[in-house]
Parts: sequence; structure tokens; C-alpha cells
Amino acid sequence: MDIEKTLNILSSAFGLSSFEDSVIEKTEKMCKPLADKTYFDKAGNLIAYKKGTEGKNKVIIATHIDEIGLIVSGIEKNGLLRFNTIGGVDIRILPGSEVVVLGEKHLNGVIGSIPPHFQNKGGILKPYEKSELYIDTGFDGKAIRKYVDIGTPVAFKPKFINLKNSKCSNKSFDNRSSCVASLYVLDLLRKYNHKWDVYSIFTLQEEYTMLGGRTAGYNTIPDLAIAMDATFGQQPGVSDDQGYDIDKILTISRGPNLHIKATEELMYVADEEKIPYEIEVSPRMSGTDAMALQTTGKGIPTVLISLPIRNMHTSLETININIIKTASKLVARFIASLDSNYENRFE
Amino acid sequence: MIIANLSNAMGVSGNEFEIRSLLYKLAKKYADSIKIDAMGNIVAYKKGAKSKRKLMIAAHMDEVGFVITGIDDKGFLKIARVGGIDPRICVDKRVIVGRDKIPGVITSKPIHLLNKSEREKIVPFSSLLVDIGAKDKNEVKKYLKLGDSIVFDTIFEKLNQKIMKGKAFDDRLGCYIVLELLKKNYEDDLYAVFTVQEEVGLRGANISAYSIMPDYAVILEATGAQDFPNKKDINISPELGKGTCITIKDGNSFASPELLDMSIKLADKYNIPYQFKKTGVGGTDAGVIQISGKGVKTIVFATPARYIHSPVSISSMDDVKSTFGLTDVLLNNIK
Amino acid sequence: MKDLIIKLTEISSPSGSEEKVRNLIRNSIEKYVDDIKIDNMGNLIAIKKGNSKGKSIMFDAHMDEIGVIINHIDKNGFLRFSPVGGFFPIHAVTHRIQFQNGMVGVIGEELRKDYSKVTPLDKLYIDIGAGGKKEAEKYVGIGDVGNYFAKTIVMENRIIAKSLDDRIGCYIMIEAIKRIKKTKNTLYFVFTVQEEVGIRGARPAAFSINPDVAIAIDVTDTGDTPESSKMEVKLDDGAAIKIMDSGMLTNRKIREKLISLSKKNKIPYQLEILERGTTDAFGIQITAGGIPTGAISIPSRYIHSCSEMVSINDVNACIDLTVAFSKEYND
Repeated sequence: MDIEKTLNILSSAFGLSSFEDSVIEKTEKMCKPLADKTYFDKAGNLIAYKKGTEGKNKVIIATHIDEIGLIVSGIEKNGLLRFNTIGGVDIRILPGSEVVVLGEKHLNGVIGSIPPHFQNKGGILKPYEKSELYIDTGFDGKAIRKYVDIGTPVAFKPKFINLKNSKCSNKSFDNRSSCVASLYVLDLLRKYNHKWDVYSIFTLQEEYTMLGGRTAGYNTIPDLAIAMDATFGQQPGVSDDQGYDIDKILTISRGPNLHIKATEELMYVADEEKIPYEIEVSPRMSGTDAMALQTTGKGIPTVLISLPIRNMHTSLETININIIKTASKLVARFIASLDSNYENRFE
Repeated sequence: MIIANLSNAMGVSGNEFEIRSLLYKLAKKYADSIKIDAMGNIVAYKKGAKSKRKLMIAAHMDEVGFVITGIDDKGFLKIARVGGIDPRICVDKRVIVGRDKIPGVITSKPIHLLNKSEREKIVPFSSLLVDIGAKDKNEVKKYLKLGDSIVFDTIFEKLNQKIMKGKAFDDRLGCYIVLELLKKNYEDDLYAVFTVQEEVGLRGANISAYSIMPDYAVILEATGAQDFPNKKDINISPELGKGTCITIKDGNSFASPELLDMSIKLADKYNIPYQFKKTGVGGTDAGVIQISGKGVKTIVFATPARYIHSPVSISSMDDVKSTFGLTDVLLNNIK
Repeated sequence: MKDLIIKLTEISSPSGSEEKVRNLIRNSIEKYVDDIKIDNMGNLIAIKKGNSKGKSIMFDAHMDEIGVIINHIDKNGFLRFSPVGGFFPIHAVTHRIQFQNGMVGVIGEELRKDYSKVTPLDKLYIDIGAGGKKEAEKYVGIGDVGNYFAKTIVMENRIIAKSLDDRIGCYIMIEAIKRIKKTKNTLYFVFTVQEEVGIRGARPAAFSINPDVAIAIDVTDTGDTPESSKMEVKLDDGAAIKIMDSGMLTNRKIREKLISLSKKNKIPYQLEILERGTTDAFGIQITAGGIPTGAISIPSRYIHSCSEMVSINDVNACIDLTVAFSKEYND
């Protein structure tokens, strides 16, 4: 599987929380040659199923497929669009940026800013507030209504670029990079023997309500869940304490949200396979699907692997492709190591 | 003494290893069956004489504490809190680190070297460091990993006939009461549950309630007694020695009206001392148990304890007995 | 119609003490439904049975209102309280509170040092006119709950009342129940408890019913008052079909169905995005593996005050849409 190409396709595809159709369709196509079966659960999460040699136990790989973005909340008389945010969008990145309005037709738009010439000279610059910003598509009030209404989603404009040293940048690496990793795991598992049944679940709406995480475990009742998400990469403004080296390592989370023994077993596999990682400590909840999965139904032992990215929740998230590879290898090896004597132990 | 062992055992949310082993051993003696679930909750089952209803009694086994988030080059441990802890009580305390129970100290800068503005500020968690005496980072890594737990080092003691001092009275007192209730026999089926991770968001109780689907649940908790000389006449606070605290409404649930009525009537009838506390404060496992599945009728009885969520709590054995007594009588009278 | 609205809104039933309004609703719908039950939480569930070919639809409105709960009676007979749900200090001072036994008091405040700031709730008290603690204790006790005391005004096209959130939703369901004679879909009309204190009633109810779809009926804010937040929803523009609020995004298929039904049946409608606030729909959507959930909202001004305001035209549009959905939803 060409990881960079897959990442390009999936990160450029559109899939805001609750509007994931387009990226789901592309992902489903990619799953079909890799899985025994693809289907949707009650909540609409996409599932790629791969049978194990024994099939007595189930493991799920959960990666959320939705992205953050904007949603049209009003249409001004002159055609400018007011908006609300879906998920954690920093308003300060918006002025001067390009977006795609996903209406009846996809329209290119810009979020404008006041030229310096017109701003109060000598006045104190404050960050723009949401109420001061509009999406400008160039259409007037009458024409825009043919394509757009309240509730039309708006995405960051995608543009996949290659940076040096195996790094690349685009919108939505949070969390399409993990989705790509999940697909690559299915690819690798064709070569490894695995006793357990594997379900790659692409969950919906994690960035808004964690609807997918809260329902995926309920509908597919696994013995173990492996969640994959993005974490902070070291960069200016993110200290070495707060972030991780995006070129060198992935993280394995430890904390109440993660099953202590299953996590130890995962770390053991990483050590054996000489996969560089660091422990990411989560004193409370991890802020990922792992949170919802762990307390679903009668409870699911959960582990969490995270891929460091820079500039999280912007249109220029940056990742090192090699980390996606090593994450997939770790998950695939871990799954291959699960046998039928697996016990839910703590001590 | 059981209550002493429960208080002393280590069990920070998410890493309840020592308290879980201890409770499992103790509960096993009295239960018909006992198991540990996917998150580490213990569910002990005892069949009732008539077996008409499912009664759940629950207390959480986890305590607040810290977790190692980093190791600096000199071998000091960076920490974050697990559960609600006031940063002001953390300086200058002895701690126990990791499953091997390594002794450590939370360092604090000598007063001689503090300038005026430092003396007036609270030391934030990000500045707290634990010293286990290691030479450097590499030595620490021989014993410990990021994510290992840390508790306050406090040994249980009885201060006098009735009053006890120790750590984690929230909620080892509740655990003790659940063990005592498990020794008894009721008409209905009894599920005694020791939950995990209550202090980090009521995380464990949900799945145990979902597996059991009880009709009624009594949650045994500890609550903060603020019985100091009152400056303003604006609040009631539970007081030591005045009995069990029947919780009308806490931060996330109302007591089920049926159980609230019954509890007050039974407490009056059997002369069990009880009191109330300020509504809307604090959250307990009752909040998640009540709305799990098809809904459960719940009530919380809390034993007052001073200085909860700190290294040293103080509580009265009399109040523990009242909480036990009221729960016992309620379980016998649910029809 | 006017009578029922007045009764529903003037009755005292804050979260956790919904008995009074539950009895009123029960009496209003008993003879129009096939089955009624009250679950462990106190939710009132009324069922209109359909046939085996139909779907199961859960309609939801919450019976509880915001209020106060007494913490302490001081030595002079003044009551200190905590909020029950979103009872905001900005609306409170000098308003009247009624307790379950009918006793009425006035909310007062401690001396305000800065008149530009709002006094927080813990510096407020309720004055029932008692001469001291003993006298107060004859009428109220710790743990007693109270709510705003306000007279409901019904005008030609406006209702001004406390607790239109969400008694107007309950009213809409009651009227729908009366209007629907035969149904192929099985309809569960759930009047929930404790929505205001954390959407507590709806979740267990949705879990036990596990319907094919659910529609929550609750109030939403408007953007049509002077210098208000910029929101498209306006009084008189019709039933608000929810797209999004701070707790959830509605199921797209369901909201598209609601929109097409409105167009088909010529029901005035508008689209809702609410920035702050959510409804029972949030709890229902994440339950039992994911129940497809939508919401019909009644535009309302001054939510969580003792003078909420709605348009009767909008209320009627919501009833029409509820009835249309119950008949024509068949996925």
C-alpha cells in the first residue's frame, strides 16, 4: 500500500463531523480489497472485518474519520456567509484563509480580513472575533442561496504538500493519518497469522460528540480495543514536555483511561520489535475515542497509540510518513501476538 | 485492623492494584461468587433468601494521588495530580512511589531562599517535584516508568476511642462498610461492588451497574465535614459524631424519592443518627449508576470526614457505624 | 388550549420533583393512548400502538423546570439555596419563588459592593417573611425545592410564562397525542424528568425503548431581539428544525425528512443552529448503540427566566410537524 498516496487522498477528502459521507465512501473502497467484509453498524460507523484463524476473540482498531471545520449559520443580504465551528477550531487561524463550501455545488471561498490601511492606526490589535468574520464566495445574496443554506458544512481547503525528510502537510492529519495506519494494518495482517477476529472501525463525530466512540463498542462487542489518534508534536510554542518528536517516535498512553496490563503487553511488543516510542501520561481521560470505548456496556480493555503531529487543528497539520508505518507495524504485530489464552488481568 | 489496612493500601485511580487484591481477598470469604471486570471493578454476589430484587451496594476503592509525567536529568520526578487535590497541601509531604512502594519526598524550597513574591504565591503542580534519592534519570528508569502512581504516605492511627486518622477515608470507609454488609444475609440478591476510577470522573461504576442492572443501589461514600467555627450563617456542614449524611442532592443526582423517604423514616424509627449537607456539592458513583441501563433507584449515605482529598483525614467510628446501620436497615426494608 | 397551557406552565415541578406536572399530563392524555407507564426515573411514557409493519418513533419533551433547592435556614428565618439546573443569578433578584406547598418567597441579595456586577447565587437568599428560624421551619425544610412564581399570559399570538422550557414541548406532544387517531408506526411519547440537571431522564428511557428514531421537542433561542447574538431563528418563522447545538449534530436523514415534510404539508419552518445549550436529543443519540435522533424546536426569547416568550403560530407549526412525522416516517 502506498501510504503517502493514501494519506493524500484521505486527508484531502471532506468529512466534517456528521457529514462524513465523502471520506467514508473513499475509505470503504480502500477497505474492500483488504478485508473479508465491509459494513456499517447501527450508528453509521464504517467497519472492515478480517477473520482470524481461531475467531474466538475480537479486537477492534478504532480511528475517527471526521474532521473539524465550519458550518454556515446565516446568509447576509449581500451573499456573505456567517458561520459556526464544528469541533475545536481556533478562530485566529481563519482570517486570510481559503475554504471550500460544501453545498449543492462545492464553492471556493475565502475568509476575509481588513487591510492594514483601513485599520485604526495606533490602535491595539485584538484577535478577530467570530462575529466579525464572513466567508466570501463571490456570489451575491440571491445566487448563493441556490447552493448554500444554513447547515451547509465548510472545510479547510486541502492542499497536500511534501516537506523535507519524509514529512508532509495538509488538513485533517488528525485523524486521517491514523485511518491510513488502520488500513495499512489490514494490509500487513494479510502476511501475519492472527488468531483473533479484527474489526477496523472508522468512527464518526469524534471531534464533536464522540458519537462513534460511544456506539462502536456497543455494537461490536470486542475483548480489546486499540484506539489511534493524533497527539502534539514538538514545535515552536509546544515545549518538549508538552509534545513529542514527530520524526522519531509514536506514543503509547498510560493512565486510568487505558487498561494497565494490555498497555504493558503493547509496550512489550514495541520493545521486541524495536519500535521507538514514548509513554504519554494521561492523568485523567485521554480526550479520544478511548474514553468512550473503555466504559461502554460491560467495559472494554482499551489501549491508545498516538501519532505526533505539528499544528494540530489547522489546515497545515504536519506529520512524518515513517511514523504511520511504524504505528501500523506495531498494531499488526500486537494483534498477531494475541492468543486464545488472553485473560483480562490487572496484576 | 481491617479499616487500617484498607486506609493504608495503595490505589490511585487507574492503578488500584494493592487495594483491589486486599478487597478481593476479604470479600471472597463472604460472597457466593466474585469477579473482576474489564476495568478492575470487583463485583461480589450473594444470593438472597427469596431473591426477588437485585440490590447493589457500592463504594469506590480508588484514592486521589499523583502520576509520574516526567523524569528530569537530575533524577527528580515531575508529577500531575490524579483526581481533585488542592496544590497548596502538596508541598513538604512524604509519598510512596510505584508498585514497589519506593519512599519519596515532595521537595520544597527552603524559606531562607524565598523572595517576598514567592512566599505569597501558591506552588503550582508544574513545579512540584518528587525526590526518591536517585542520582540521575537513568537510575530512576531502573525502578520506575512514566505513568506509575504516587500516594501520600500516611499511616492509619486511632487518635482516641472513636476518632481515627488516615489517608483515603474517601472512600475506604465506604469499602469497609460494604465488606461489613456483605457478611450479612438479606432476602434479596446482594451485589457488593468496589468500583475503580471514581475520582477521575466516575468511570468505573457505569459498567458494573450495566452488567448487574440492579433495582436499587445504595452508594456508600465519604463526604467533607467542614465543622469549623462558622463565620457566616449561610450553610450547613456535616459534623463529626452527628451521624451518617443522607444526600438529598449532590452535584449530579437526586436521591430517589422512595429511598429518601424510607431512609428518613427508618433512621427515626431505629434512632440512627443522621444529618444533611449542602446540596449540589460533589459527585458520586450514584450519578452514573442511576441513569445506567433502564434507570436505577439510588441513594447515597456518606460518612463525614474532615480534610478529604488530603494526606490526612479524620473521621469518627460512630459515624461509620451509623452509615452501616442505616444501610443495613434500609436493605432489610425495601419491599 | 389556553387553559392547558396556563395549567402546564404555572404548576410547580422543578427537576427531581416532577410529580405535580406528571399527574397533570397523565390526566390530560390517559384516554387518548393505549398504554401509560412510569419508569424508575419517574419518566412518563405513553404509547400509541402501531402495527408490525410500522417503525417505532420516540417523541421526547421534558417535564421538569429549573428552580432552587433549600440548603440552610438561618437564625432569622432567611433561606439559603443552590440552583436546580440553569437557574441564573442575572434573572433572580427580587423575583418570587414558590415552594411545593404553595409558600411564596422573594429572592433578596446581600449588600452589593459593585453595582456593575451581578451578585452570585451564594450571596442571595429567599425571604418568606418568617420572623425567625422556628417560624420558617413550620413551612419549609432543607432539601425543599422551589421554582419561579409567575402568572402566565396568553395573547393572540404570544405566550409569556415561566417554564415554557419545556412545558410548551409537553403541550405540543399532548396536542399531537389528541390529534393522532390511528397510526401504523408505534409512537412513544416520553415526558422526561431531570433534563435541566444533566439530561438524566432521557437516557434510561431511550435505552429501554430503543426506538428506530427519536425526535426531541424543546425550546431554542432566537436572534430577533435588539443587538442579540446573530442567530437566524426568529419568532413567527415557524417550527425550528435543529441542525446543531452545543451538544450534538442531528441525524441528517431525519432532519431532511422533517424539512421535506414541512414543505409538503406547507408547515412554516426554519433551520436552527444553537451555539450554547442542548436538549434531551444529546442523551438519546448516544444511547443503545446510537439512536438516529432529530429535534423540533420552539423558538423562545428569555429562556430560563420567569418570562419566557413564544409565538403561538410557531407552536401550532410544531404540532403539525410532529403529527406529520408520526404519520409519514417510514425510512
